[in-house]
Amino acid sequence: MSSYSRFWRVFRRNKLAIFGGLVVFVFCVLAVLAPWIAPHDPYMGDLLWRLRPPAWVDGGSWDYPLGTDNLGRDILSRILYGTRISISLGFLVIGICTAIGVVLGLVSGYVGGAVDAVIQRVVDTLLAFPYLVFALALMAAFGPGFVNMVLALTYKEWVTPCRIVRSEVLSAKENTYVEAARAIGASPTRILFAHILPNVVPSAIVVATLRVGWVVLMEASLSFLGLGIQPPTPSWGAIIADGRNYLFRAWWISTFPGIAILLLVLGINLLGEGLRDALDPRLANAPLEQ
Amino acid sequence: MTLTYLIRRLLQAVPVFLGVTFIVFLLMYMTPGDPVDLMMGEGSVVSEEEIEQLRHELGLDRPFYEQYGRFLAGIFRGDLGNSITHRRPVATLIWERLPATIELTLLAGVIALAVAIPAGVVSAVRRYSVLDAVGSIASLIGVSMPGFWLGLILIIFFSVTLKVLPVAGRITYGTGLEPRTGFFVLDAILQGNGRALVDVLKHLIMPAFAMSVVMMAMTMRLTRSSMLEVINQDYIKTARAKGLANRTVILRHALRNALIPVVTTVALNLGSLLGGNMIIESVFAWPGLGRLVVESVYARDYPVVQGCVLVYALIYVSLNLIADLSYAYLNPKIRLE
Amino acid sequence: MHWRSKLLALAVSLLFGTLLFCFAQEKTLVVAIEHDVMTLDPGNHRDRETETVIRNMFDGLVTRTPDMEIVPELAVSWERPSPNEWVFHLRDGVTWHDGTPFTAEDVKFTIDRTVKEGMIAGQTSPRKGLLGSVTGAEVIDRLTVKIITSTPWPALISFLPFHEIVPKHYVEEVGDEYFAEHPVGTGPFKFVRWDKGVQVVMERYEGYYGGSPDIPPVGPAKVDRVIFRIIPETSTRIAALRAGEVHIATRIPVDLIPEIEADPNLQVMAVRGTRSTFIEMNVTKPPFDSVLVRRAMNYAIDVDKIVDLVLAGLATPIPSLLSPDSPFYKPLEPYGYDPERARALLAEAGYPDGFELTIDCEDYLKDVAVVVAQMLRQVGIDAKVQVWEWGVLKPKLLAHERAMWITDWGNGSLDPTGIMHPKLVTGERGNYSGYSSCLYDGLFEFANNVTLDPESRKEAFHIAQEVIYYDAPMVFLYVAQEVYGVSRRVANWRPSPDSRINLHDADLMG
Repeated sequence: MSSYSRFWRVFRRNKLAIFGGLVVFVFCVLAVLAPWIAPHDPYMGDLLWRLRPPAWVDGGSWDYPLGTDNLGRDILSRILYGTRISISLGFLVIGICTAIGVVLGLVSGYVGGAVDAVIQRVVDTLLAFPYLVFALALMAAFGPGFVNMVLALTYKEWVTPCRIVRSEVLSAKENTYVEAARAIGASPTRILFAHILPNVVPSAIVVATLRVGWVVLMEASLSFLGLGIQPPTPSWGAIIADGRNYLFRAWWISTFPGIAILLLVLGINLLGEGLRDALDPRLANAPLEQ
Repeated sequence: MTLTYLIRRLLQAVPVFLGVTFIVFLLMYMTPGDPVDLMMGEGSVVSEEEIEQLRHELGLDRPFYEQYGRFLAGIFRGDLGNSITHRRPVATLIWERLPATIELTLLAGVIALAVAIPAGVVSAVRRYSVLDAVGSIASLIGVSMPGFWLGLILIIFFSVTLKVLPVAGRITYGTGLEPRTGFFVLDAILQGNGRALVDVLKHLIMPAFAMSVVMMAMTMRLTRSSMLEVINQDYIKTARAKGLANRTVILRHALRNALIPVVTTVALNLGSLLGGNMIIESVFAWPGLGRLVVESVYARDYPVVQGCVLVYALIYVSLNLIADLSYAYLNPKIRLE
Repeated sequence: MHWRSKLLALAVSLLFGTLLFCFAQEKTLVVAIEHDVMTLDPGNHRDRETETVIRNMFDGLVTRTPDMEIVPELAVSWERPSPNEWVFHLRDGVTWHDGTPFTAEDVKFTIDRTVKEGMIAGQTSPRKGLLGSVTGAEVIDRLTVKIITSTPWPALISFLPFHEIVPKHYVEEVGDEYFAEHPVGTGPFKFVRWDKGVQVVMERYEGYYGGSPDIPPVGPAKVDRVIFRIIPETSTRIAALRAGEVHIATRIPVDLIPEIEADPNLQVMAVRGTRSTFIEMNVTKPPFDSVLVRRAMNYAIDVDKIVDLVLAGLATPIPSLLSPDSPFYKPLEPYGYDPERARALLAEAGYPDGFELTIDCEDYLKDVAVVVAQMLRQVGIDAKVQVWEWGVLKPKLLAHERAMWITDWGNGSLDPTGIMHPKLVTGERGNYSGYSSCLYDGLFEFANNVTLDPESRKEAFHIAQEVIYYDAPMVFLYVAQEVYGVSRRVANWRPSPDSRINLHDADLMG
């Protein structure tokens, strides 16, 4: 049986993973269609309609289904447009970082020696630098914006997968099947890609999925500190951060983007776990037991 | 053996510190904005000469390499320079705030681990059970909430609505606590001041919880997945096949091995918690290092930012060393080379 | 002590502590401020919060009433025997918090410490600029002191409320660094403790001379203790106010006023501040090198609507740069909203189809900026908003790299010297727009360094306001009100335009 069909057979059985994938897919569709389905301009509001509650609350109107913010902008439209920012930011940053991290982690763990030492000193240096201070200083130095945000989040985000992959490689090297492969004279490349990489991928996926959510949240944190993506760009983090002063008076401003983050991260995680179960050869071969 | 390992690790830390101080120096140097100019504010006529005078007194008119050299030389003398806006020694400023940050971070870490490890083990052992599902959902919600948002919700609920916990700050005035170590919990216990202890704990609980949530969720998921892998390893199956009691297998064999990746991650996370707690500190008006750093970045108070980053790096390197030592202790297969 | 007896002591003090706490009847007034004080040395900072806290422990030669009138405090009277000399007669019977009498030596010490180089632990006071051309002071007798300037500097009295007098004997004895953390003043409250990042605590000084006779009642402070608590996050400050933990909370955003008003225990107090908000334009480059375009901007922006909708009506539109509270204010008719005229002026200047424009601002003004951009779009200008951090934006403004930006400038002295001079005189450090007018510069030279006649000085400033009104290097917006959330238990206190929080007379009821 090919590994692909095995993957599909296992994945298909996992209803939650399918659901997660569906959620992520829906968000992607919303992101693409935002300009056509958003009821209002996300940048311009009507000041006469400021701080309106959601439609089902007293004083609300179906013109603004999720209410308006302090400048009269439609929350639903801003969330729809924000989907684009959050999804592209999350996947871009994590995609770049996972790629860098997995490669360097494999090399570092498998080759060892001086290469490992150099990579690990770089990793240590970046990790020892408090990440928010770095992001803060970077945004202060170069100004807020999407590219700088990607930079501020990428600079050490690759370190986490790198560290995890490296430690997985270290313990995989000790495993019987790797030793066996070595004993029968398999080449290092073959050992690395055929025997070690498959063991490392599940961890990389678990870490990466959690980190996508983390990136979306970091964007909110930087917005909280006043260094988010350029306003009035409607990123989820910016909407939540701008709405935080209104938690008493207009809870809807930061609650709905918060729910959006929750849903997206939930979807990504369920999907990631499904992929993990289906991809991990050890778990997939084992009978699903308690 | 262990001693040579320690010495080697300490030597390895040297390039790390050099790298960190260099990065922060370079970043601050490249950042536009002049600290003296920002400090002078408005509402008066200030001459260029006056600003130059202050810049000269602070050594800000020197070239980059000279300023960096002075900073490095200062570190060896234990002198981190003077703050530009506070106009007091940086070491003093850090020393005043560090205990507050450490106290909060440690409590957050303890809360996180105390909940996460048992919960992770239970989820793994009872995989696909209701408990597992509840744990997964709770941890998902945990990692999906912005920290400041959770903090504000906690304040609104526990302080404004229920009025059972203080809104913010570290201690109420008038408890008679004399700050000596700067760790108020410790101070209160040493001085036998029960009222202060209760007051301090009441102030600590909300920020510590808000801070712990992300770490809790991540640790729990990691414990779970790590545990699942171990349970399916041959030696555990063998142990079970030999007829060892399930509890013994789980606690003695599986948990020990499952904790290896967890330990590394926890140490890294504690470092991130320390370096990322400025948000919780702002929300809860917690007088820690994080708030000092944020304010100093805005004010371009370079000496303070540099000093704080150095301290963060120091803490991080120490945590990492501890993690690696316990890693070796937990997994005899990994030797300290 | 054995650990068991320690535990017992812990339990007992826990019990009695709680009981005692319930019966304590002392009046403690708590004020929530946004960030920690930088220092407690009045001469070594340039920070508003720090000033607010310090002013309750230290008095100055003169002070301001809540209506911004300047009245004697530690000085009784003053005269100006020559253009460059001011003689102050000091109040008798004033003591420092350590009991030592206050004398002219202290005043001379304070002035010299502020204006001379390297006087505070080897560094120069950052408050030097707030004393203009003052070069030093001389003691005439125990209660008379002379302040000397290098040029006639009529604004001296307007700037003196910013300078609290420090004790010579104490600073010389303990040193500047110790003084900065253990201050001794002559004010209504004496220092108790400063928990860094948490609070500054002070208690009533029983030996207080009573304060300025022009601000009755005269006598010791009403409350036993004052605590300034540091709470940076706005929502947290309001939560603390609602939970009854603090009695006065500063810097309440106008949007949150309804939330405070909804609470029967709280009230909102607002006062017009001293900070003017305006839109500056780069007059060195097209399109804003054309006065027609600049006037068009003034017509295109509906200031009244901004004030009503973004600021909940809590701001006063201004026709020029100066606050209406300034004694030098010239009441001109604001440009008013007239989009038709704006379009006509744009066409006349050669921009019938408008142009592309980025409006810069800091985060806290972005709401205004977004609305301004919307209004400019109505007259055909393709405007968008960019938000900056001030430290990054400012060098770009000084290099004249940007086109239009919204900003503000505080002017606690209310004298034109504090705002019109640094903002618009050629080459001054706050002149980001690149505006340069011989007439305007000459008027300031005349008013500050030539004339000795207060009426001519006032006349010069009136003309200067008209000059910038017609040249329109800015779109003049408004002076905003500063909003405080105040517990209804607080009596005899009201906010002051210069954002000082004077708690001398404040009381706590119930």
